[in-house]
Amino acid sequence: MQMQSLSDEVLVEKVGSGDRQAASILVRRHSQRVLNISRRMLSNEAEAEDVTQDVFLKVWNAAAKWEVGKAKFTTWLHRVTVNACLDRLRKPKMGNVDHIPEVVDEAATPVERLEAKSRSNILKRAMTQLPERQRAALSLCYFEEISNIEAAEIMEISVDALESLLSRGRRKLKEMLNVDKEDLLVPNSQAKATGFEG
Amino acid sequence: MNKEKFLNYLEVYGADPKRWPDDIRALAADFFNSDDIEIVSAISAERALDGMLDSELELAPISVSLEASLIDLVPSSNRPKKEKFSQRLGKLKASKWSTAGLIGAALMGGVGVGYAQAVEQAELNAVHTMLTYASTEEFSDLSDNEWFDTGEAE
Repeated sequence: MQMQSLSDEVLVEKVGSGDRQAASILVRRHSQRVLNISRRMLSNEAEAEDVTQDVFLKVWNAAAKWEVGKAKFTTWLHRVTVNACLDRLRKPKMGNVDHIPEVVDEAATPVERLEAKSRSNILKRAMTQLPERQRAALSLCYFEEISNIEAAEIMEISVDALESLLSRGRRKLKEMLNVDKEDLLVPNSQAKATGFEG
Repeated sequence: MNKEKFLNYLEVYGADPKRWPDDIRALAADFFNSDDIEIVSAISAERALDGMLDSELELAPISVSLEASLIDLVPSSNRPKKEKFSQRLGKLKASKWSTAGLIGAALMGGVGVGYAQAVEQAELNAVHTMLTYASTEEFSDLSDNEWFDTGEAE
């Protein structure tokens, strides 16, 4: 059987017996998401990379004891990631902010790029001001598009508690970003264009 | 689903129905198309926030060097261990008796070689001793018969 088609759980077990090819497939499958969650929670590229390394070191060390069928690998991996970020956030801060690299939109004009950068910086600043668990919930559900049930499992809370974190986080962001209902009243026809298809 | 619940879910999952969990999205269909001014303005506010968040959806790809360093973190204790001699011997796929025979033969051979070497060494030591005595003055004039005379005849 091709290594690429093996499940995460089987690959982890193989890493446990020293298979570096299995490790490389797991890294290719999951490192981007681990890094992105860390970037959004920490707002610091160097720290996000450190956390990504810590997380994968934990994965490799746990691999030898991994039991197929006991837990879903991605839920466990993302839980380790969120917890590592929360640990970092609780440590006293040192040094300055190391910005997260952005994807440059080559099609945009310089003015558009400047505006986008400014909007992006405002949003990032607002995100960093959110309580850490609200930030984690938004990072998992909104940005990484993980289902509410799995996100709740990752954060080891109920779905209701997760929904509460999400709504409080979004409300706070709207306040900080001045997204006011009254300012945003739009004609009905435009408002109806929700993209809802049933 | 009622209006209050819909507004609550709107604050949780935003204005894009695709982001709503399947089970509640089906129940919310009518509310998304409602003319209720409160619902319309709430959807607009959430859509504005979604727009801002969406601009941050894409982040730079992970670097090749970071990926490589993650693979390098696989600890050496996870790497395959060197097989023991007994394991390699087992892999010869010979029957257990032939494996035992091989071990027995090897042991016997070893003992035999060791014994032969010991005997040879003892003989060499005896000759060496005799030559040492023969080279001393006291015994150098002895004839062959005198050499082997044990004195039992007297």
